[in-house]
Amino acid sequence: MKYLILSGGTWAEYEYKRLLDLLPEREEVCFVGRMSSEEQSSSQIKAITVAAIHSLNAEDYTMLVSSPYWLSEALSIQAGYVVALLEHCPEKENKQLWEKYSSLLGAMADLVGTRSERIYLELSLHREYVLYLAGDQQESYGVVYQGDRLYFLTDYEVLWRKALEALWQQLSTPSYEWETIQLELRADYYLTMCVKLPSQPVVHYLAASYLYLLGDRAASRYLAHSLELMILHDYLDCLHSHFRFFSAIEAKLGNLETAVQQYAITAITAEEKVELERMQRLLHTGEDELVRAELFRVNEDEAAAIRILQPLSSLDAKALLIRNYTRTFQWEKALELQYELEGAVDGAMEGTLHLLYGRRHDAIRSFLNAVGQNNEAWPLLSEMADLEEAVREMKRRVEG
Amino acid sequence: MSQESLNVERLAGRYGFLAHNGLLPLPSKDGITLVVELSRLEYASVCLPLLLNHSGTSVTIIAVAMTPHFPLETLASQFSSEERILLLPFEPEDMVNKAFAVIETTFAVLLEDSIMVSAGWLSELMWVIADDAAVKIVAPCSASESGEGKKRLHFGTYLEMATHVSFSLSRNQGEWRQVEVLSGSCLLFTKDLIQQIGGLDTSLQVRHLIIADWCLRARQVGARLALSDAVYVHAIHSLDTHLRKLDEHKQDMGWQLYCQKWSLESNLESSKDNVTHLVPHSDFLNSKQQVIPLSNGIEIGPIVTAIVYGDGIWESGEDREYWQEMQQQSYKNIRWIWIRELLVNADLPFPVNEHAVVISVSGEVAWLQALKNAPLLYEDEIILYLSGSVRYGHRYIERVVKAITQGSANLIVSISTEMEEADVHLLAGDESEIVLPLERVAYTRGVIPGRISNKDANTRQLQLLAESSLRIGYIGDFSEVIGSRTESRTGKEAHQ
Repeated sequence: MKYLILSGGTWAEYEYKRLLDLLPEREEVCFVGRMSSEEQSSSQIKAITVAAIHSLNAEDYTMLVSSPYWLSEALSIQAGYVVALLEHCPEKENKQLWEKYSSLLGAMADLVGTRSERIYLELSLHREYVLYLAGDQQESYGVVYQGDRLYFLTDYEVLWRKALEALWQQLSTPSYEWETIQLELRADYYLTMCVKLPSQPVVHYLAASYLYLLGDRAASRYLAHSLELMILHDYLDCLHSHFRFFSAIEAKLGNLETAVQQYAITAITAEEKVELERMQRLLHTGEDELVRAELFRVNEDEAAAIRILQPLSSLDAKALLIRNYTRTFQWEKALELQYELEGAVDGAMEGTLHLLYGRRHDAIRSFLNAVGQNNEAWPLLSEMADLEEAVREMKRRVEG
Repeated sequence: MSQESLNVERLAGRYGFLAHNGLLPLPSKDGITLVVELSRLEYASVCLPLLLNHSGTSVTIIAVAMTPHFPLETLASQFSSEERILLLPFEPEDMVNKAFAVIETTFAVLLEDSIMVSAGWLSELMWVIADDAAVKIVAPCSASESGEGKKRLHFGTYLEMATHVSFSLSRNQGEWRQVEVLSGSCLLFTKDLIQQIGGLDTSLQVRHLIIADWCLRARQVGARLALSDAVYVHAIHSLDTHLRKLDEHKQDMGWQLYCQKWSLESNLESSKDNVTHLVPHSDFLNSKQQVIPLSNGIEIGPIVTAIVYGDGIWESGEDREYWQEMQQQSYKNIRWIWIRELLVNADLPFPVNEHAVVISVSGEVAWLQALKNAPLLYEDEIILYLSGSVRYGHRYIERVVKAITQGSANLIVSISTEMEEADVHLLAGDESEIVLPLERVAYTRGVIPGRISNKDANTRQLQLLAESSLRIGYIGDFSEVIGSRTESRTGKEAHQ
């Protein structure tokens, strides 16, 4: 397998060198940016320029992208597979810009890896194929020879290889096996921590989160304990973050009436009350799937909502699907459905996509159209300039 | 610094040089057998070459498939026929015990294919048994060991691990400690332990409990367990979800059975990290768990202390050859003690195997004293005397053991041709004693057999003045006395 590496800086700064050592079926690895001949020889990686990317037969490559500012380039290359390596915003970067385009990169990638547990959990609620590239296990879980060097692999390094292999064999392997293993490992870790730190609400909350993602009914018990501890420690602002979570757990277990009742306790704002009324109406008319999808969405588990809504053909289901696609930055799918349902699309989303596909003129037109909708155009045009500058700066950095 | 301590230091330096450069042979004459449990091909295909590279030339590997679908042929294709690997395909029986049954060397190691070793690992473990003969099981530190032996170390590459082990070996060489129990993925042990306690009790289902059980049974027969502080082996864990789920159920079942077997409180959580839960109250050393028989119909019998005595009898090459062969008895559970008269044959080569004990004495008083005290050296269940002047059959000891274990006699005399012809099988003595030829006597521990004395003042022929209160049994034998060379007749069983 051939790999193309798009980093956010120089080879010396690149933080995933070991993951490159462990790439499965590694034949050729090209790093976009400067490398000394010694670095190339010791790492068995070939350095190429930004311009040379386009001369590669991209379909043969799996692309590892670790800066959101490569997004436009990544889309134009059309590599065989795209793996996004997402990080928190570096200090010198524009946070809003970084997070928006990181989210877009995360949504369009075939596989997302991250060393941040927060990003990992958030993305696990947005989509499938998310891998946590860190862990708390010291021990080895695998061995592999690369050349004549024998590597001992940590749990996530084993999963890194499994995830890439599964990417190429999506149809022939049981889906998401490695994702379940990782969720189980994280759950086991926090369950152990709950014993060691019985008075820490965060630890119990995280245990509940992983158990919820695994569909384990024990999630409710750990959440309840976390809530008790929060109240005990006078952290009373936990109605949304903690109590509402019960409704998602109950929805996953199929107890929709209980789930809606629990959500009702947390529905404070006018908007939330409208959501509640809609859920109650849907429950009354027996549209259980839509109720479940909505309960997941209001709990920010859009991935679960999308899984329910995708096979449904009703207009209500499609309308809800657009909201979930939009929230999870799956904007192409959102626009397609929006056009199908309404005959028009969101100018801001459309403009951003035009921009990313290198259609600058179309992007400006879409942004200007957006003015008529909600006066978003000027900030968007300003953001466009910021993005172009960030891309230029990154390429300068990469090429030294 | 004294000259003596200077010499010791210099010798230690020289030894260190040899050890560091891998120039030292293993401290075993007949090599060592490594029994490897094969569960995962990706681990096994790394583990076995490392074992071959870092265990010396006198190692034999018996690799047993622990699952029905283990791709043994794929693994076998990695090795040439010259390499010392015996691959045993999976069979629905206790595979490890089956491998135990074919061990021929004095030392053996049991390890899982998830264990990665590096240079120097094996000899350092073996030296522990050389340091203290009572130690019968030695484990290295690893992530899979329990208690003090558990070391959770992170290594990114094999090179990092090998460097660490090399440093640890040079810094902690010779350091080991006695422990209460072991339960990890790698154990070195002596073969005689299998003969004493049998194989693994696989009914306990969970590997670390099966190993802990085996170690506790070893302690019940007086064996010590040791943990080497110098040796570290790297254990690779599994992420297999199915196996982990299966393990949870097995873990509970195994723990219940283990608690039942060792009278432990089952409400305590079973944990590999918490070694204290695995060890019962010290009373357990006063009893003995059942011996677990190995596969292939091999039965485990009691250990026999065989005491061989004689003078001037190993002068000819033919005699020496005979005694070397004689030690290859059909019964294997034997510890040999040789009593040697220095005044007679001090310079002659001695036909003993490397694990035998040789007591060298000078003069008749010391000789008789040694014969009297030799049975105290071990606490084996049967004590048997053999004379260098007699030729015993290949199955001689097996028949003696059978007579003792299957009958009610606590002293057995094998009737020889000469004895029958001379009608000496009930030798004259006073009413309280029966006089028996010592070279034909065996008895069970716990009885006082009587006094040993010279038959007459001019020979070294010995007799036992046995207590008449003993339950004496007689068997026929196939032995012959050197000199007469008469063909012995098929003996008759004559249990009294």
